Amino acid sequence: MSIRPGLRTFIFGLYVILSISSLIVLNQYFLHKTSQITSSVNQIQFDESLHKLSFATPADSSAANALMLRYRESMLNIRMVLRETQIYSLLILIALIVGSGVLFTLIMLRLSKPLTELKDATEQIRQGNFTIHLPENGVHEMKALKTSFNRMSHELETTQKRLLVAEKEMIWKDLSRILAHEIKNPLTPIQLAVQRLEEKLESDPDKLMDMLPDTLKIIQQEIENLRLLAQDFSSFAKIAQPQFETFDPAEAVKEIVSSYQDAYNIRLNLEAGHLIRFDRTHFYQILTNVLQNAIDASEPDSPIEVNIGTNKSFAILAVKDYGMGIEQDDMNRIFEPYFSRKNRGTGLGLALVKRLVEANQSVIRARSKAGEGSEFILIIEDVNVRRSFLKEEI
Amino acid sequence: MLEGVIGKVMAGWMSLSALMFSPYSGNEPAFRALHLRAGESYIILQAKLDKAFDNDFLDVFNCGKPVTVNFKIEVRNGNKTEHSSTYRHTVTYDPMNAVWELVKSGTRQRDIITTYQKLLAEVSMLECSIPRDVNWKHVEFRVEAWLQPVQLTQPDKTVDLMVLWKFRRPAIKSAFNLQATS
Repeated sequence: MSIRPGLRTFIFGLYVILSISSLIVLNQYFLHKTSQITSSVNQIQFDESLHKLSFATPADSSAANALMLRYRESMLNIRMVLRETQIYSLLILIALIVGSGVLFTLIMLRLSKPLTELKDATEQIRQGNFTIHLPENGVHEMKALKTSFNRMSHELETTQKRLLVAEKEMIWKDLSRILAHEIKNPLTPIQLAVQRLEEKLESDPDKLMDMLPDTLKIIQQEIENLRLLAQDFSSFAKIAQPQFETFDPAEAVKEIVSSYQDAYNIRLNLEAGHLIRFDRTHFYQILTNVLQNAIDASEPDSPIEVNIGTNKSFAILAVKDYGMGIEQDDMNRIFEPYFSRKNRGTGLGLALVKRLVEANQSVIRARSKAGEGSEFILIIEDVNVRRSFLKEEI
Repeated sequence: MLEGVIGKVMAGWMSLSALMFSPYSGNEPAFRALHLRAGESYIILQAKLDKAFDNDFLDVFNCGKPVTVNFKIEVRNGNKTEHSSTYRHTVTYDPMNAVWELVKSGTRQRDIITTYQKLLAEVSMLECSIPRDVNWKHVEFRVEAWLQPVQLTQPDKTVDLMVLWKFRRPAIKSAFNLQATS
């Protein structure tokens, strides 16, 4: 573990060095002076041979004795004062260092506490808690800093609320666009079927009954698709939760394309015998979206080919048109939401297709050349081939 | 108890201060090994203070006022104090005759000493006898010394001589089996 001294440690270290250095200098000066006094005191000698003298009277002897005692006491007093001064000043010196160190540390902690509070508050902001509010107290600069921080957090909170509102609006808008786009696709075959009935009613009412069952079937199918679509949108999350079924894609394609075939030049080349595990509604949504794009990109009589083939253990469903094609620069963006070069359209169709394909554990590829047409290839695991392969393995 | 703790803190503080800021060494008093001789009804105890009066004590012993070194002896049996007594060595200087009078309360002897070296040797040496209890078997003897403050008359003040010992009370303790030594 590496030790990283902070600003407080540096300031404290600097303080300790400076204070101890200055106190040592002061102490040395003091010691020098006391040593001068001691030296002077040591030079005072006057009574060493006093006791050898003969005094005339006992009173003289007593006076000399008292004089010497006073001198001795004074000498002891001076010596003790010097030593006490030395000793007590040392104690006071150390107490000063320790006391001032403690005081300095307390002041430092008090000064740096707001910084720690700010650091913690910044961390809260980083974690997205903009409601944090610091008490605006302390020294003037810290108070100003806290006030500024509180203003910033308040503004961030307001901005966050605005963003949330805007995001909600955006989600609703997106949802509405997707809903409109998906409802529009089934409406076209219904409209075409109704138009055919009207034409037949005008041109040949006798044969109206012949085509009525097929047309009603188409309308019923599209209404069912609309119902399923509405169901999916009512629980948006369920779109990504496919309800897997095992079916022959050729049959499903025939059924879906039948509603378009009379109006458009759609050619089918469907290899039978495949079995895919896929959500039927998703399959319908994918194919109608791709087919609608092909129709939109093609001239009215231009052929559109829908093929089903095999590649290894995969069923390959390809929708190919000979329409205007896609510019090479746009190829990387065609599956992005809201990207569209069409006059009509939300740009959600292919984005939804890609999402649905991925939800069904499959892959979609596109190739195109401007002016020559486009081909969308759906690669789905063929359950039938895999079963055969597993049987062979056994 | 509290006095002992405070004394130890002060001594530690003093040592730290002196180590950091002062060339003043003062005195480092310590007892040499404790000697014991047990009689039937008494115990003779001997201890010697070492390095107690090397610096600054000439002025102290020459001040003319009685200077007292106290020795406290304790006999302990576990946590129980079996015996406690204090003995004093009191030195008084006579400037007219340039001699020191030393009174030892432990042996009740009174000596006139003419040389400073002899004075230091005598004042440092503790010899005393304490009454023996027949029940004492495994006991611990503890000796502690300290200096009594001196009351000066010129000027009128009390000086704490423990400054010269850096507030440290030298002590020694030793365990004895009195059954074996008797």
